[in-house]
Amino acid sequence: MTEAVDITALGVPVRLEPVGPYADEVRAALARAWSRCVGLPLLPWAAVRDPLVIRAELLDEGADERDDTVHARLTRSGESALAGEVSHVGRHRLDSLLTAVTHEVTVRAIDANRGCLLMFHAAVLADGAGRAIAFIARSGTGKTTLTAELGQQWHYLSDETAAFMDDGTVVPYPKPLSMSRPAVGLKLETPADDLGLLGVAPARLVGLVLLDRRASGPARLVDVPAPQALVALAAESSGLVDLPGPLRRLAALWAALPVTGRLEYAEARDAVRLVRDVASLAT
Amino acid sequence: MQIRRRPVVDEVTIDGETVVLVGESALALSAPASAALGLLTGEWVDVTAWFAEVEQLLGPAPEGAGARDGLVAALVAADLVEERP
Repeated sequence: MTEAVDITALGVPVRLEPVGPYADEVRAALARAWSRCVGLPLLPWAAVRDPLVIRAELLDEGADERDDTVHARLTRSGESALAGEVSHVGRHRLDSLLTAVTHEVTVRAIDANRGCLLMFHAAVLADGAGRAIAFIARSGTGKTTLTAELGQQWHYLSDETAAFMDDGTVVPYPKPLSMSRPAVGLKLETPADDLGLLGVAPARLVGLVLLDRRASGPARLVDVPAPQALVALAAESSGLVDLPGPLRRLAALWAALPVTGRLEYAEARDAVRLVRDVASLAT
Repeated sequence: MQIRRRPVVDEVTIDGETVVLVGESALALSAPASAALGLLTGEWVDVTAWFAEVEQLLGPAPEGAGARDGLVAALVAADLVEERP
């Protein structure tokens, strides 16, 4: 039996179990993709529970009753979920499986933290002084590109889901980065190591920034009135309604953080320069 | 017609503008709408009496009943208020 890959996702223990005829190949890919999430500390409420188990399997063509359209399968807790109905062959089917694993891990880790953590669809990175900024945006609007750029100098904590304890401590989730590759029509799960991103470090939230990528123009951080900010933050949150006093909590956070606003930018490099300057002023 | 407030998940008022969380969506209300909503509770009230209070607070509405009906319709559409004949 192929050894599982045990990771920590948003402070929650997750066991990735490669199974099937290509288990060794799947394990190698999972271990590489998720290496940054191995050995991270568990949250107190998650430390006492059994790990979430996700079985990942590549199938031979025709090994499933749905025949030649199904090449990868995820299984969890007795349920069966298709990872992707893709007609690609060769390496693409492993890519589809990895993408499905990332989605599954993220969704289940978020669910496990409902009512406990403040969570946003956001990239989060921290400078050398442990000052973290969350960059909030919908999928496909520049979080990962900005992460890949800023992560050369700042510690990479997540490219998609930012989670915080009440005192602002960042709960890291340095998952593989989901990078679009239009040439193959897929998102590829790219290990943080491949991009040279700095590793996890303890960090505390100092900024919430709404990303607004534009076609052109300089990078600038624009003030956002709190009511409008709350609407935007709520729209990009996960499990907000499960927290006590969620809007009041968001409002207090927005008011207390030294770095808030909407980051308008066209080039990630310009945004990075601005972010570094702004963060250096935060105390 | 009578109206009353519907429960929301949470709400916060900042500089006179109220933000409400309805289901999983947040909605920012203008200052006048915030004030008008603030006059409502979970108890049914006559809409004419309520709107008189609103006008007392914010000044007379130029469109009169049209403004009242528009405001009620907007609050109902946002799931913040319910109405009954």
